[in-house]
Amino acid sequence: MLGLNLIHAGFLVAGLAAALPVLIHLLFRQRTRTVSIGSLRFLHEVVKEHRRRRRVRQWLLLSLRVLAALLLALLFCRPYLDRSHLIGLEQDVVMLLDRSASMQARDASGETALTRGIAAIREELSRLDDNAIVHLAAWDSAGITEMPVDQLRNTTATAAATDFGLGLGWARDILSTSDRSTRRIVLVTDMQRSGLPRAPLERLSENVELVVHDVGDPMPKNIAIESADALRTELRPDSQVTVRVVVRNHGPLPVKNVKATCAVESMSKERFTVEREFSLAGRGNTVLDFPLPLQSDGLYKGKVSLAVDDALSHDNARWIAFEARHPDRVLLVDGQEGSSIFSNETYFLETALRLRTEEIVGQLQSFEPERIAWEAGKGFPRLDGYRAIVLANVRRLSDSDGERLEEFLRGGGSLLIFAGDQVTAESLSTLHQRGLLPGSVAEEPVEGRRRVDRWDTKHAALACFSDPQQGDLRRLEFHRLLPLEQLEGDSVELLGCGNLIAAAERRVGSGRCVYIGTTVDRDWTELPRTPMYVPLMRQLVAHLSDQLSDRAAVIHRTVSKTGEAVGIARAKDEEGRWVVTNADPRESALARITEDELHKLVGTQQIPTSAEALSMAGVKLPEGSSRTDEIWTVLVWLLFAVLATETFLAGRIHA
Amino acid sequence: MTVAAPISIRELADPKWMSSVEDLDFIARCVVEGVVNGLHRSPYVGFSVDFASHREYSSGDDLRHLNWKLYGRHDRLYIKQYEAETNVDLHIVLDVSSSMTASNDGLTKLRYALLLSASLARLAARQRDAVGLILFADTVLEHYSARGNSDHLLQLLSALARKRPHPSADSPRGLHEAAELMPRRGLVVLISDLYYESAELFAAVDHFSHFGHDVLLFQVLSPLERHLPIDGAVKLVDAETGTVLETLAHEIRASFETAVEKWINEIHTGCQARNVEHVCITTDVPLEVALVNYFAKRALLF
Repeated sequence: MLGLNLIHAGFLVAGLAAALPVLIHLLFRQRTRTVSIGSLRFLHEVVKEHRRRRRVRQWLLLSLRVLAALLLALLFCRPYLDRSHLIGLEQDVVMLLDRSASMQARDASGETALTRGIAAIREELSRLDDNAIVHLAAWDSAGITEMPVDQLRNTTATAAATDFGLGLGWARDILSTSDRSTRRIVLVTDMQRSGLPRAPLERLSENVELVVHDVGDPMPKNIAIESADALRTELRPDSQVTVRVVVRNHGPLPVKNVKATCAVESMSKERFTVEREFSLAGRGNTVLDFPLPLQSDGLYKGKVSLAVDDALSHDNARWIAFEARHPDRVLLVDGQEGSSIFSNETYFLETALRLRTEEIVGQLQSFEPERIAWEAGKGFPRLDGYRAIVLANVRRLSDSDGERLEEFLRGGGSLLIFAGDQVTAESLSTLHQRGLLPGSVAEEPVEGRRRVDRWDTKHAALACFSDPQQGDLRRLEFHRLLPLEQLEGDSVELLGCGNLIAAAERRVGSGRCVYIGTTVDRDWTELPRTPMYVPLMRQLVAHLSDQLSDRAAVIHRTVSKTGEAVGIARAKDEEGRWVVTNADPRESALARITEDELHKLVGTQQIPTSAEALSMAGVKLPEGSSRTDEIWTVLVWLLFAVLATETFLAGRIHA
Repeated sequence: MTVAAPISIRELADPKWMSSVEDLDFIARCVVEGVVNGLHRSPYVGFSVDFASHREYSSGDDLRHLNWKLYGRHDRLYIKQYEAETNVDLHIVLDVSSSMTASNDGLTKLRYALLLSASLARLAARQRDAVGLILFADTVLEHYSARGNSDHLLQLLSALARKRPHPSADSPRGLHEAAELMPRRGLVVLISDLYYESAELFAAVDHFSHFGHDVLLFQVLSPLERHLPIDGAVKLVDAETGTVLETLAHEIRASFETAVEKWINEIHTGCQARNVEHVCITTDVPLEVALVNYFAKRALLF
């Protein structure tokens, strides 16, 4: 197929002039004279011979005249040869449309970058021949969605970020399997610099062309909420739950008196709204705290929003959800009260549990330890308000104590038992008989320095220590140990030293009981002097008070999957947790990468976009523009040849 | 076929008819006079052989016939006069078939042939030769035996001037009939367009020769039939059959001329082989010019 196209197709009407020769023939044909002759004897012979030749000549003459008229009309139409179909047979094109959140940015006319991008894709598609292979995909950091051309108009911007590495890598993989000579990537994006990965971009093959369509618009102003987190979500009389918001001005110009609103709602529909006003210097950021007068335990959800009109609207709000609750009460039973507070058996543990960082983001690990001196003889207080009980070097337990502890454990409470000089197998026999201990305790403590050489790395409390950077439990050292001789029931070993079981856990009803064969103070071990002490104790108590797993009610995440929307939704698991999904804050950055820079990064050359290149690709140029593939010279010579032949033939016929 | 009314006594008395006869005779006489004056030699040589008397020389007479002996004796110039050869008859055989009536601009072939016949008759009468006339088409239509009196000449002229039907003729059967009607030896002048098959034509010529006739063929063609001197689209109507042929004249002219020339040459060659004179004339050539040329050529032969 010859791809003949016309610049002035309207002149095709002039092709009707092809009828002129016929019309002229009909209008001006010679009138036949009637002539009498003596005999047609010779005329018959001659005419018979000439008739066929004459008919051929006349048809040929008519054809030449019609052809001349058609050529003349075609000449006015300015025909050109569209060779794009030949190019198309060798083309394999991957078209990548950026659908990241920043593509929602509108220009002065109100048109979004995504709309311009779709138009650019359509223009590129129109230049391609049907024979070209086209892979069309919308892409962001959350993934790539390949789609047919007719789905292009349904493409919408997501809340995900830009990731050039992901998109170009996908395109490179597709083109690497292509057997066509012309392989091209058409990248339609707003050129957001934040889309560059930290690692260098992988270079494209030498035979892969990269055509970049920058549909972005330099944005002078964008105020974005980078993060919004709930701090101090424990309900204490001396402090308020606070939502901390980081706001960044990505533009070079300062902004003044911007109103920020934090609105949360409890599950019982109780609303709390706090407003703040702030000003920001160009390219500056600020931290806004929103104290919330919350009183009751429970899940709170809402969002922080900015009342500002800027280029990107998706980052003017950020969803938040958190669980606010009172801290877990832990009963510390001190079996050997000292002369001073520092010499109490539970001093180090109480101190470790009372530690409270100034600002805690995310999951709660707050405790409210309450110490009682066991030797005072008052026994256990009411146990129904406690999450965990710690027995530290407790000498004896009566049957009623054992009964209350069993009831506490089976009701969902937890028990943490530390050994000591006053603890023997007999002193714990009450608990052992009730099946609360993980195993039978040795009759006598084992003397000598020993290090922990194994632990349950999958245990919820100890898993974090499997990474040596977060603490190496092998540094735990005991110089006296009252080990468990044998594990019982479904007990699991937590810590081990050689053939000794240093710590173990047993589930009792809904609760847990953990036995540790050393003291909680420095009597048998130097553990309280090591940095491992606080995290280990807090992890153990948090585990026993169910703070590590079951009570993580809210999961925070950034958009990372295709089709994921921002907002708060119930998790699909059956735990009843909530998932807070927010846009990637990197999408708020206004810095842009240049086309040259991108070409350098991937090792490609900038494709010329001159009129000549477009012309060779079969692009329709505006009327009046000159084209290199016009064939008017050929037509003129052809017309001359036709006219010359016509003249010669006409002369022969009419001579 | 062109049909003319039959001749009757009443028609003979018709002034128009008489006028046409006089017209034909007048033209023939003019032609003859023109011919006679145009020739350097007397036309009598062609038709007379025996000495009759002398007469004084007059300007234009052939010097070969001067009697030098008398000049020497009397010192005056006398020209020998010869007795006409009365036993040589002139038989004019005229084709009046429809092909001779093909009418376009100018003279028709028939009228040209009539004038030629009349002129020859008058020339012969001037030499007191007996002249006969046969009009034929597909068959002999009229026959007038050769006689030498002046009334007979008038009769012949009347016959020539008379309107008559012109049947078509596709074969020289009429010529054979004419040959049978002329048993007495003489000079046969056949005037026709000769649109016959060559073999048939020569068979007829041979038929005349068989009876000892000297045969002279005057082939009369119109310029159209010889050169087709017209351009453009023409509808050619065959005067014999009425068949119509449409063509572009300019396209076929060359081929047509070639074919016609070939045909004429074929006739000419055939006549030469039979010692028969063949003269092809076209109607655009004035009759007297044609006759002068003919007699001049003939004189060279003697």
